[in-house]
Amino acid sequence: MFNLIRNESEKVFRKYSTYVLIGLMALFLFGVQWLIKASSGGGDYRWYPDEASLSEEIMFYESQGMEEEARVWKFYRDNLLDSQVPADSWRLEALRISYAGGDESEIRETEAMARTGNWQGYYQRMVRQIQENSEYTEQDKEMMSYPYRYLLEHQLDPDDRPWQWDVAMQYQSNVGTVMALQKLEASGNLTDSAELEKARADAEVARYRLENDVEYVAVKGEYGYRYPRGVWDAVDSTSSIILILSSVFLLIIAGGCVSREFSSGTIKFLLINPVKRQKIFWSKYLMMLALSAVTLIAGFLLNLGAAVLIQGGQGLQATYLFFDGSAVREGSVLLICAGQYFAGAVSAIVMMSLSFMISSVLRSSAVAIGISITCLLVGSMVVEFMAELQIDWGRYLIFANTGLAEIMQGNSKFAHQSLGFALIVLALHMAAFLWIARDGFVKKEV
Amino acid sequence: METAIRLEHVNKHLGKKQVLKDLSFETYIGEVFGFLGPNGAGKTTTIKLLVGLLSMEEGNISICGKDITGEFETAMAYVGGIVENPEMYGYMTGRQNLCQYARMRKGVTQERIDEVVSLVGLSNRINEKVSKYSLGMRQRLGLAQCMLHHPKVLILDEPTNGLDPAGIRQLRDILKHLAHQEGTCVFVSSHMMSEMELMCDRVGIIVDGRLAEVKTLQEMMTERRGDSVVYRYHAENPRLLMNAARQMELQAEPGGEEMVEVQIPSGQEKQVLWELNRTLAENNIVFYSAAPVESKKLEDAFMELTGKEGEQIV
Ligand SMILES: Nc1ncnc2c1ncn2[C@@H]1O[C@H](COP(=O)(O)OP(=O)(O)OP(=O)(O)O)[C@@H](O)[C@H]1O
Ligand SMILES: [Mg+2]
Repeated sequence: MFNLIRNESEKVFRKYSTYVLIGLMALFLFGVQWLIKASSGGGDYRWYPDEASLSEEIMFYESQGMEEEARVWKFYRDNLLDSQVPADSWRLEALRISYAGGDESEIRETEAMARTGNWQGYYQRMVRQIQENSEYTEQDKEMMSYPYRYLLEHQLDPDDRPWQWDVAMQYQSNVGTVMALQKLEASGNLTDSAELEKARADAEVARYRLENDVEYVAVKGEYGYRYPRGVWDAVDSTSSIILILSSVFLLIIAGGCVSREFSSGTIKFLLINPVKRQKIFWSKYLMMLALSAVTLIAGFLLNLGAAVLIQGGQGLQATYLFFDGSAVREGSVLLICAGQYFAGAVSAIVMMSLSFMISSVLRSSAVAIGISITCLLVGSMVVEFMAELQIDWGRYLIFANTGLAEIMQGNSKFAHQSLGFALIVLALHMAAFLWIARDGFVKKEV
Repeated sequence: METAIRLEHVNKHLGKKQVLKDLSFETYIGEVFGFLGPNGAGKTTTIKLLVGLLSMEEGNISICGKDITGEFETAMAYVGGIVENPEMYGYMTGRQNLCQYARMRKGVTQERIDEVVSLVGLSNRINEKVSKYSLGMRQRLGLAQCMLHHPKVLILDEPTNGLDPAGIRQLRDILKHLAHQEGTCVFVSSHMMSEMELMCDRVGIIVDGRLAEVKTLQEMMTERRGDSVVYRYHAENPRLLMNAARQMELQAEPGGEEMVEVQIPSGQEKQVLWELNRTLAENNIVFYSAAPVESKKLEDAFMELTGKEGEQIV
């Protein structure tokens, strides 16, 4: 059996066309990675409006009766625009708060701080105000003042936009959400306790990042995992392309695997040996499985390699952070990313098997490749359409179940599609494919 | 004699057509068996059944005593063969093709591959891609491939197709050697009668899916020998020679320029020839050569058996 499989793989790798396909795939992969790098720009999101648009904005706020907002922008136009302060600076936020509720002396103090860029002063005042507020418990005070104390302690000027500032602001907003939801909970009006859990987890993770100085993290978001800028984001956003490329590669090879033997007449050479047809069939399929595994793994590693190379290794050291209910834990981003990729890779293997089956039954590689590529491209669209139209039996179709990664996260196309259901449907389809293919191969007269 | 291939009442339909009709025969270890028949008679179909490319429908086939449906793997281990054209993987070299084959068989070493390659005269070209081979080279490679594992039964479908005269002669020698010295049963299908006559020990003739005759070549010859053998004389003056022969009550006909064909009664050839030649010498009738006309017995037998059917494909 080993010899048979070796023969089959030799048939694949002695052909030049195989290497042409691999070369094209690699080229495409590097191209996509390079495009991602080129389109992401420098990552500087500061915003500098021009004077004309500012005046327009001010007029708009005035016409809407939003005096305070208009005043913030007026101050910005008159005092800060020339000194190259971006419009999303902490200063505007500080002014907004003071204009809304501060007395005359506080407003004057804030304006002075904004003019001179005295962020320490502003943050110290924030901490003081939180401490003096008697509505808060000690614990609330600690949490609310933490981001300001952190920035002060580490001397992180928000105008420099250190990553810690972003995380601190996230933390601050998460803490705000948690407190608001807790208030609702206390009054018995909280409808969705998951929301509170989520806000609390987000806050814990943000705080963990600040305390442990973790810049690059992957976290679990509402719609799948979110990866940090740089390598992992690039890997994640290209992995679906890699999967499609690998699928196409595999189904081209699988489509020729049996039918080419017939079209070239070598099937006689193959079947004249003291080996049952069954065995030859399985050796072909096992070779395809092994090839699929190698292709998919190599695809992932190559993609990772290309991303590291092109992104200059940015964020490679990232960790996956998650809150398990009592503490924040670290996990491996590689595992998470690879897990998602390989959950998606199941569909590549299903498509490969489909192509293999058609090739074995109809003996035409063109038909096999054509049908399976069409399925690959429109299959999920058709299923989505059926889900839209509420045609419920669509859930039994293979393409409703190939997106294992989404199904695991509960984002299946049909409602209540569990992972177990998907796996069973896939297994049944695969069994049917193989049975039909085997039957076609073993019974047919040459 | 040890039976190599045994067919018993084999029937086979392809599509709606019944291609083989109650076909039964045996071949033995140590002989070259010629399987003759006009186009479309069912030779290739029989061979495909023998090697398991087609499924059995009715009847039994066994190879060296092993039933090919019941003990497929054992039976096939005895067999080597080429069906129709020798198709190989064109993108591999000759040697890589042979290695592919060797891996599906037991006990084929690299030395054996080298040996067989030089036997079929491909040593110089074996590392070239098969897609660059000529038809005859592919035929030779096919022969090498099916001999690799010392098969007890060698089945060849029109192996002379595409071979040059040297190749045909080599093939003949190889096949005879395999059959007579190494105890192989060689089963060759063909419609090249002259070739078969030189190669085979026994022939079977199949017409329209039915076996018309199975005989040794000897039997086939004597049966159709008739009463006389024709000798062709190359004479200075054919008319004189013809008259002389006729005076000895031999039948003589002009056989082309300066040629006379004389019928010598069989059984007493030596005596009659000696007398005729002496008479010619005594009468100063000059002749340069005298030779028996090349035998076409097998072809005649073939034409007779296939009859008119041979002219239209059935
Ligand atoms: N796949 C098929 N379907 C239907 N009929 C077929 C098929 N293959 C062969 N035949 C018919 O079976 C008959 C025998 O064919 P076969 O190939 O055995 O002939 P053959 O003796 O090898 O002829 P040749 O000397 O031309 O090679 C032919 O009449 C042919 O038309
Ligand atoms: Mg034939």
